[in-house]
Amino acid sequence: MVTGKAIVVDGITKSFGEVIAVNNISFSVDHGSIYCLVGSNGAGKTTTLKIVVGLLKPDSGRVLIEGVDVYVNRVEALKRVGFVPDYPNLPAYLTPLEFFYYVASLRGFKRSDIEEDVRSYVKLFGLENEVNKPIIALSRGNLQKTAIIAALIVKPRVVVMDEPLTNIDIDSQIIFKKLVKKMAEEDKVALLISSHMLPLIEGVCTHVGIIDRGRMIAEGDMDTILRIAGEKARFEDVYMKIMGKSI
Amino acid sequence: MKRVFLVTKIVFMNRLLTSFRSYSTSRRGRVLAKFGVALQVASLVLLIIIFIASAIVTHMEGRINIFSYASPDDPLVASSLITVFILSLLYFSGAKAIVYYPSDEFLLYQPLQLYEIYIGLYLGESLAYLLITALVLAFFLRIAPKIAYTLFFSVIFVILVLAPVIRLVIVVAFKRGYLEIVRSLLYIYIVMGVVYTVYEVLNQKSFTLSPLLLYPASAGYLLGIEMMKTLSFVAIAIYPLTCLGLGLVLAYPLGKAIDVSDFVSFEEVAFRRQLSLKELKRDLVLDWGSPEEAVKKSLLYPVFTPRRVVTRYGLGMLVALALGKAIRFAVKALNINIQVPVFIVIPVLATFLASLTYSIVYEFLLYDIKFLWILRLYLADMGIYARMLLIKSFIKVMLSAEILLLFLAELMNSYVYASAPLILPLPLVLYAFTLTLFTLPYMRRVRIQTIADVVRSESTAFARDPVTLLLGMVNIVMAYVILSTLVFVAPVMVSASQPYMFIVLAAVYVSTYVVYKLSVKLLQKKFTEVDVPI
Repeated sequence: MVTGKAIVVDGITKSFGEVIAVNNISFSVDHGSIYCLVGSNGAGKTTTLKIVVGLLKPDSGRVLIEGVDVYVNRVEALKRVGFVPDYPNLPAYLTPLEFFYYVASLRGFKRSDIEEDVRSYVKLFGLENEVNKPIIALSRGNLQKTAIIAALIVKPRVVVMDEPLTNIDIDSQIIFKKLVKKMAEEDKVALLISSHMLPLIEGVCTHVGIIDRGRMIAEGDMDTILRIAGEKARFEDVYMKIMGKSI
Repeated sequence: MKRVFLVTKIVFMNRLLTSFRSYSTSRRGRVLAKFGVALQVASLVLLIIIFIASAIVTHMEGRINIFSYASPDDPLVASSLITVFILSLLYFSGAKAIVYYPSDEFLLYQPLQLYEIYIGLYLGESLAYLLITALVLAFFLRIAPKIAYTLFFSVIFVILVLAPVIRLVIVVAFKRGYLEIVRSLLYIYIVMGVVYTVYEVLNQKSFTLSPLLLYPASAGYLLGIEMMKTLSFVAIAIYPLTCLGLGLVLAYPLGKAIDVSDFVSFEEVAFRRQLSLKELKRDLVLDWGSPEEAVKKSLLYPVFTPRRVVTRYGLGMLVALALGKAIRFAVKALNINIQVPVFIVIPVLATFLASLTYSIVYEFLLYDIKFLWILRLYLADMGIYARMLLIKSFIKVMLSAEILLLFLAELMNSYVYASAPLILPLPLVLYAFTLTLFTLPYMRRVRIQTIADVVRSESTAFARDPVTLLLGMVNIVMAYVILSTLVFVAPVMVSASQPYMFIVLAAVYVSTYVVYKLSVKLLQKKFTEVDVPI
């Protein structure tokens, strides 16, 4: 068992009927790291992330958050986690502002504990004019921003995000990249992100895991992964080489 | 015309595929879905065989007897039903647009005239609908010729001709700002019909519905019957085609008046409906308190419950009381033994209760269990959630049952029925628990995003899903059991335990509490362990 890691994914497998979505995947994420899961559509990224945050139960294997098993001691493990799903289902009848305080109170925070954070994140993502509208009236991008802010205001030690930049405007993408770098470098938060966006992967991620048809086919820190395709290689060259594809 | 038939074929195939698709990943689920397809095909074949067999085997005298059932009095029932349908279609049509399924959207950017798309859409849908309901039609035609023939022709006429044409009239009238005029004409028409009916009743001292109210629908029926009398068996086959032809003729000029913005996707309509349910006029809730209070507020407080849901129960109770009183009055006037209806109304009320509680299931899917992922991630103790959700569903089940029991109490003039949920709350707790439990696998199977997913699941896509079927069956059986228990056991309990009433009630409440606690435990375990697809 690896100790001191923020996230340890140890040989997880998950099937839906006859389809094996995740097949014996293992990796770990340190505090202060930004780990990106990459792979084609249907490769098993989303299933992996949902297993990590305890929304799906693996058929075998285990997940540790700061050494605590997500399935043995769920409450203790998830206290440290913030999560952004790929398509956030948020309570349609609440406003984003209400939702932030609702989520915080579920974690036991008082309003005054997070007021400052809420204000600053809302301003950072340009949501000032949207926070008092019902969530159902939000655009897809603003819904995504709401989910991101909700995941961050609970002061997590581990943040898991599934395609966080989908539908988000360019301004917010830039802000997001700076924010996650700062969280990793200064606050030593561990981030596990699945993404298809090359600028995010190349500009932010410190570690990469490439998944194909439920299996982890390459994994390591960004420099090591880039060297697979030779000196000064870009991530897209590595990806194409590993996947055995050419244009 | 060729393009119209091409669109018809595409829509027809899309509808059938959607209806027969299985969302199950298990082998058993897929086998069940295939069985559903086989059943549909068999029903169509059966329908055809029955038509042919009735023409060959049945003695001519027998067929004449069947036709003789269609006496001129028969249109009364069918026509009044259909008139009500048409009038409600005209009045309650909220979308004021041509609604299409997402699978048909590509038609809108093909080189087709809009009226060709519209006609193709409605032809394809109508034919698919006819195929899907073939089993029911075959059943009716086999065992109950009188009702079957009456409704068969009228329903086909409405489906194939009147409904789509009326829909087009609404769209065009709305577009040109005439909808209020159309509605006003409708009111005048209804008032005239009612006044004429009252006049006739007063004059003839017997109840006769004004023919004015029947004209819109009786045409289809009479046309069908007349054709059948003159052309005999052949007419049965050509009748639907005649209806289709008439529909085409009527839709063609109207179809030219529509434009692309009149086509609205099913999802869009459902989204608009959901948007109209939102609560905007309230103060923001920023202080949620402890985790327990937060869950309680979000699940139980009416401020987050759509107004429609809150007012539904109050209105339901008033209507139930009024209806019970009216029927009691009528039963008394007609000198019918009042004891008889209790046994007859129970299954009917149970079916009603089952459909009433379906709204609870949809609310679970839309507003409560849909957000299970948030609670799984951010809430330490799922027991709080299990407790609140069970209380919420118990209250709703109790209110739904109370609507029906008030009706029964008023009908029987005995208010012991109305107090049955208080005397015997145990079956209601069990029912609430079962509903909640059975909604979970449904949620797990389907990624619910909007109300459209739920509405569609009710109407087409998941109609043959094994989980949905199971949910439906359990709901109906449970509704029947709890209503029967409340109606038959509660009054007996009150009268039989008179001297020890408080002891019996205490025992009932203690056992209810035990069942409630066990239910919460089980739900807590389920909510903690179930796979959440989000």
